[in-house]
Amino acid sequence: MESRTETPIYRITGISKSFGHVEALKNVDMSIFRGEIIGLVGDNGAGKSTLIKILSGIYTPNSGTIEYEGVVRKIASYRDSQELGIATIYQDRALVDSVSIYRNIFMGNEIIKPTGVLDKRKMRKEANRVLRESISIGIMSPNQVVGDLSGGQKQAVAIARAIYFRARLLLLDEPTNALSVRESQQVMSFVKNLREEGVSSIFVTHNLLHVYSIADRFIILSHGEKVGDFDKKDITIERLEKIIVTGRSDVA
Amino acid sequence: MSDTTGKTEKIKNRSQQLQMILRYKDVSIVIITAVLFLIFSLINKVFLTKENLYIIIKSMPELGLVAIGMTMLIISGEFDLSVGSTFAFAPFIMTILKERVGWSGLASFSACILVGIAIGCINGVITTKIGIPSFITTLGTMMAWRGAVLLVSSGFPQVFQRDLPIAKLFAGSLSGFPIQFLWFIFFTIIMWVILENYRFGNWTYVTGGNKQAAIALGIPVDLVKIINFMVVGGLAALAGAIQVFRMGSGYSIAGQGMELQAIGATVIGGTLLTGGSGTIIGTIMGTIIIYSVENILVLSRAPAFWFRTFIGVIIIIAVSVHVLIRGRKS
Repeated sequence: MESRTETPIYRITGISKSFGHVEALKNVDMSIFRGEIIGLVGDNGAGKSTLIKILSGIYTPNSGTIEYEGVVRKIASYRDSQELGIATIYQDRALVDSVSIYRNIFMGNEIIKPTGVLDKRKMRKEANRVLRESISIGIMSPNQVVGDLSGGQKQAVAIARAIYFRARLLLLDEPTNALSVRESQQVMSFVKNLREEGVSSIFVTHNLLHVYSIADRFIILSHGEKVGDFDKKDITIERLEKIIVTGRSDVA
Repeated sequence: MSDTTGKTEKIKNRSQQLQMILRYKDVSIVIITAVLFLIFSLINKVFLTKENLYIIIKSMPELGLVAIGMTMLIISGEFDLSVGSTFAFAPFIMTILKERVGWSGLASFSACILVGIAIGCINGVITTKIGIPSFITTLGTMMAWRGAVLLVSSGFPQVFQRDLPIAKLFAGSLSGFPIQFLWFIFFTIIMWVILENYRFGNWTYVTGGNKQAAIALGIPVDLVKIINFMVVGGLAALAGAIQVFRMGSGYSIAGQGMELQAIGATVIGGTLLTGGSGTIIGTIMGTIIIYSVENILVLSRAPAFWFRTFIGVIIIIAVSVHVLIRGRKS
C-alpha cells in the first residue's frame, strides 16, 4: 500500500461528494500505481460508481484533489479525464452497434488525410493491429459491424479503443455483468495482458470471485467511506467478503 | 478443445457470411429495383422506352433531392415531416420576391434556399435544444408553413418566369437531357461522399446509432443533427424551386404528402428509422422504385388511387426483405 517507494500515477485525496443530504463519498483517499489492477468493492450504495464517475469526469467532487503524476489536476469533463489517460469502459453505452468496428474505435478521433478525407485504409489497418496485438482477440475484420459481436468481443473493442488512445487507467464498471463465463474469462484476460504493458485498471464488480482472481489490491468502500485497502497477499476472499458485509476492517 | 475450435470456426463462417451480405447490402436493393424494372417492362412494353424513361428522369429529382436529405437526417436519428411544406413555402417566397417585389432571378432563388435552410435550422434547434421529438416539432412546422403559404398565396398559384437563366440552369435541358437530373446526381454524389468519407458523415452515423456513446466521445451531437435538419431544409427548398422552374408557377398545395414519400423512399432503401444505419444509394433505388410504380400505373391506365396502395405494400415488402437479410436481432 502506502509503503511503496514509487510515486503513484494517480493519487486522490480527501474526495467527498454529496447529493442533497446524501453523502455518497466521505473523505476518500486512494493511490493507483503503474500496471496494477485494483478491485474496487463494496455493497450497493457504497459509493463505487460515484468514485468511478468522478474519475471519468461525469461528477465533480465537492472537495478533495486528484493528482496525476504528482501534479494536481481538475477533471471537469469526460475530455479532461481522457487527457489524463483515463478511459471508462461501460457495459453497453460506449459502442455504436450499427457501424463497423474500425469506425467505432476511431469515433470522435477519426484519422484524416491532409485533404480532410477520412483515411479509412489507415483506420482499418490500425484497428486490426490494436485488436490483434493488444487484445489478441479473434475478430474477423475491422469492417465487421459491432452489433454482430458477442458481449465479450464488444468489451474487447471498447478496451482496444482505450488502449489505442494511450489510456493509462481503465475504469471497468461491472465489465463482466451479463457476460457468459467464457466471455468473462476473456475480458479478465485482456485486463491481465494490459497490466504487463503498464496499464492500470480499476475493476468494479459485485462478483468477488472474478475480481479476486485478477486484482492485485482491494479497496473496500462502505457507506461512502474507505474501510479497507489491502494487497492481495494480505487478505483472503472470505475476509474480504466479511469486511464488505460488516463495513468494518477490524473483523477477523 | 475440438469443441471450441468447432465453435470458433462456426462463428468465423457466420461472420464471414454476414460481412459478405453487409458489404453487398446495397446490391440487394439494386437487384430488387432491377427485378421490378424487368416485371414492369413485361407488363407494359412502353415502360423501357426512351421517351418513358425520360418522363421518370425528369420528375424524379424533386422527390429524390428531398429523400437524400431525409436519409442523412434519419441516419442521425431524427426525421422531418415538414419537408412538403418547405417544398411549397420556400419557392413560393421566391416567386413573390421575383414577380411582385422585383428581385432578380438569382437573388430570389438564393432567398428560397436560405429560407429552406432557416426552416431546417428552426426544426433542429427546437428539437435538440428544447428536447422534444422531431416528430412533434416537424408536425407542428409542417402545419405552420403550409398555413403560411396558403395565407400568402390566398390559394392561388403565382406565376414565375420560366425562361430566366436561373430556371434554365436548374430545370432546363442539356441537348435534350433534363438538367435537374444532373443536379440530382451531383447532390447524390456530394452527400454520399460526405457520409462515407468525411468526419461529419461518421458523426452522423454514430449520433443516430448511440447518442450517449457519441456524447461521451466528445461528438457535438446536437450540432450534427441541426446541420442535417438544415441540409434537408435546403434540399427541400431546392427541389421545390426546381418544380416551380419546371411548371412556371408556385402552388400553395405543392409537396403535400411528400414527407411520407421521402420517408418511404428512405426505408425502402434500407435505412433504419431508429437511426445509425442507411445509405444514399439505397434511397436512390427507393426513389426510383416509387417513381416507376407511379409510372407503370399511369401507363397501365390503372386508377390513380392504386398508387398509394402499391407504395404501401412495397414499403412493407422491402423493409421485410431488409430485416431478413440483416437477420432478426433479439
